[in-house]
Amino acid sequence: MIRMRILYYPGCTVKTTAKAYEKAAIGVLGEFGIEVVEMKGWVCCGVYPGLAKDNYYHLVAPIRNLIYAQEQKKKLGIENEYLLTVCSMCFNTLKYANERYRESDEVRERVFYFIDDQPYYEARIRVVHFMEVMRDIVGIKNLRRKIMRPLKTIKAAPFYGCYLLRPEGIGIDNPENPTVMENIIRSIGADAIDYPYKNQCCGGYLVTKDPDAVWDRVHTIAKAAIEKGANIFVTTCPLCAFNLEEGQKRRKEKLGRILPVFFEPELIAYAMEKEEYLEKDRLEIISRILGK
Amino acid sequence: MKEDLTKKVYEISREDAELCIACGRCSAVCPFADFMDFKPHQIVHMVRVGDWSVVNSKAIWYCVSCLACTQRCPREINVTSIIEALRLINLRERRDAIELRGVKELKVLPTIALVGAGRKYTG
Repeated sequence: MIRMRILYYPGCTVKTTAKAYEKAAIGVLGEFGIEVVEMKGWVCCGVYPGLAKDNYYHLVAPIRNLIYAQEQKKKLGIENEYLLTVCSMCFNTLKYANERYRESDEVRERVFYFIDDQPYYEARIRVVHFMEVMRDIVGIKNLRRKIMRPLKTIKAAPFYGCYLLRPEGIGIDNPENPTVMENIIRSIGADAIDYPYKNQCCGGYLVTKDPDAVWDRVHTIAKAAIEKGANIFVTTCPLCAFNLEEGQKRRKEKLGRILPVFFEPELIAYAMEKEEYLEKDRLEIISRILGK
Repeated sequence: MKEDLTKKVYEISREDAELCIACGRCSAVCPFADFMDFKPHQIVHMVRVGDWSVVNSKAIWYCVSCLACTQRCPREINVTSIIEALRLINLRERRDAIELRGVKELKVLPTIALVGAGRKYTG
């Protein structure tokens, strides 16, 4: 049995539209002896790693969070280097800023032009995603041992989206041929279907500017998944989840049916017979698909 | 005389459009290329030859920063960064692409979409 505490950065969306994701993820990790401790005073990560190289202000919010995390770890006596995230976008934004910060003295110095009220960031934190923790710390073998109720009739279409995988070096798996989601789906007794859009973009923030373009995009993705026999989508990004859900609703007539969208830990919790980690409406949907 | 666009984009992104071999892979993998008036490989070309009209194109606002083009580029150009630089040329001069309060689906959208849009569409 693992015994550890891990500091956790939530981010805005898992506190609003994706509460079910957070609840399931924390619950599942707890079952494996990983106590999730939410950090205090966190601020927005900044969403989307800023790509400009001629200024540094987009690094300020993520680095500020990493400083808070560094100081709280010391206070709480958490010695491991991890900072847990569940949202793919937060994960990427924080990790990208961390890597940029490590690049050179110039970057470090410039970032601190904007942060004069905090201690120095020592850059020892390692930002990790929930899926990484499941794969590398919990391990697929351990996960398999706790599965009480294999999800035999589930045919899941994994949807990685962009920011769990790209850019290479930040993402947690091979961006061209990822397997981490499928491996977990299979280990909980479900079937993972293969379809061409699993590591492509859902439309992201374009939904604010041209929602119809995004709904059409989701139609293309869902159509392929349905044709391959999927009965649910699984994702790890709250923005992908929103776009997939809403886009299918808006294109329901063309699609003929809608695939419910789940976050990976929700399925794990259900397979472990830990229904207390699932929201009630989610539990109903999953029970219906499983015919129970 | 107008500033050298190639140089300007390089200054912002540190990406060298001159490396492009015009293979078109970036355009082939772009999920929103169909909506773009100039495809990603054409955008890189326009930056390379210093064609300022690309700064006013529709295409740069259809880029969703998914990094698919960057992942596939055989010359390891971060095409996403080049397009971001073109957006920034607009945003830094207060030419926003959207008015956040006017977003159509404002009430149903998750915060992540709105903050993302704030970052990419407004200055």
